Amino acid sequence: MKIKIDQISKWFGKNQVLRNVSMEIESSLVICGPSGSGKSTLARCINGLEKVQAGTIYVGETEVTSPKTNIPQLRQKVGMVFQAYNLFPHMKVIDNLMLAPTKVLRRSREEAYETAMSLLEKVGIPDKANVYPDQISGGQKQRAAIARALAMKPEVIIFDEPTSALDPEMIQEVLEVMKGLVKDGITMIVITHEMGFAREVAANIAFMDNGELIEMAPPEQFFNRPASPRIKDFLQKVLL
Amino acid sequence: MLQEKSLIQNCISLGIRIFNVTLLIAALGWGSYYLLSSAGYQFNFNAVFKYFNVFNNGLWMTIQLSLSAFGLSIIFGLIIALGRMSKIKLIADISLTYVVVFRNIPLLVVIAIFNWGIGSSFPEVSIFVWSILALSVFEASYIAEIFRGGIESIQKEQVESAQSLGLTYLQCLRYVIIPQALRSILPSLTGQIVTLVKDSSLASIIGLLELTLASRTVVGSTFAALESYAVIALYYFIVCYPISIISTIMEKQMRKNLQNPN
Repeated sequence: MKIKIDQISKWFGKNQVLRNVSMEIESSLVICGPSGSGKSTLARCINGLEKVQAGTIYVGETEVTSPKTNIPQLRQKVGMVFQAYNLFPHMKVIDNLMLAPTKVLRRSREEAYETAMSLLEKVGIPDKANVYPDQISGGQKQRAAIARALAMKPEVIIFDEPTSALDPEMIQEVLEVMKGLVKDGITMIVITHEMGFAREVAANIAFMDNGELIEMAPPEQFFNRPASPRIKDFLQKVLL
Repeated sequence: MLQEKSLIQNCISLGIRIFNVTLLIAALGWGSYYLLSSAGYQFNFNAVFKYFNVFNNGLWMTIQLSLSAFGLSIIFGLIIALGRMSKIKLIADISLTYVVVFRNIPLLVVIAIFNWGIGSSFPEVSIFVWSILALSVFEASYIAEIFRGGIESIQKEQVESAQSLGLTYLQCLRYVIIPQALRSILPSLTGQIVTLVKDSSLASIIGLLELTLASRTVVGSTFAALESYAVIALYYFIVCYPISIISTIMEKQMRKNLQNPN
């Protein structure tokens, strides 16, 4: 699904966190940049978790920034995966996956169960279906969280630093699952500092600094001929 | 296997505790009886026991009143709690005022205002209804704060991830926030139920024939004050103590579910 962001600006109090950002997203996009650069805020604006004060965002035909838009309905199509997983601790993993399909999409429990199990297979943790989130590792939690987002069959999925809270040996297992999604043709927006992943998977890489979009380019161009010295600095730091 | 054992152990230790408490109460009762008798007090339990039915009817009324008031105060309390957290300032202010007002006036006065104040304009409404309303409106101000504390203890990320799945705020409340909040508020909520049962005795001042007023009428005809108040003290205790026990068991159960899911 196509996402069109046009001239958006946002302030937290007096502090401007997004400055006239415009971009079009059609397939997988990786957003990177130093912390506090506004990349997370930008991603959260796309599914309406944050409101912008100026500009428009379209997800497909839906204008996210319009007050008339039914935001819960939009979110059925725009999944999100968080840094801290945010699984529901009072539900088993399988119930985490089944909650939204049964309550929001009104699927039958049997159908939701089938889908949930096949997704757990896909992310490699079918044996953790009947376990509570507190009983599994960080990498498994994040894979469960990805499966939970996929259970809604979203057309867009936003990853907000999905591997930043993970131990190094668990990062790969999560990235592998995400690589699989690219092949499925879901529009992915990934905020990450995993540049190897970006190079391999992203159609485009966007670099943000101080609320501004500095450059958005295909990986080859982004890594070899960065448009700004700020990107060079940044790459040197994260690639070390 | 290990878990079943610990469940049995839990039950046994709880049983022993209940037994000990009961034993101590019996000892205390007997001690007081002995001391007062030797000081020359003539106990007359026989006169009081004739009014067994009056006590039982009073107890039944107390139970009906408490249950209805509890149900209503949960609903009012939840609404007020949500109001307190509303982003619309007016709603938040109104809810805050509600809480502040009812927490700072005595229940006795609230009951009086409902029955003799508002009630004078609606003579067809019974004192039972006024008692329920006064009690639930009053207790709701406490329950609202308990709910608010519980809901605010749930991380904002939980709400965000539920909403990112397309859940509406109400669905999020129903399936994600309240089930988690319930765990942390259960002890204070049951404490509030016990308070409510005891507070219901104040409905006696407007003439609702519940347990306390029942006891007063028995005193009126037998002059056996100590005996008849001792009887209702026991009645109140028998109603309230199990509520605390159930809460303890539920709390343990919930904690266990969280820690040992398999």
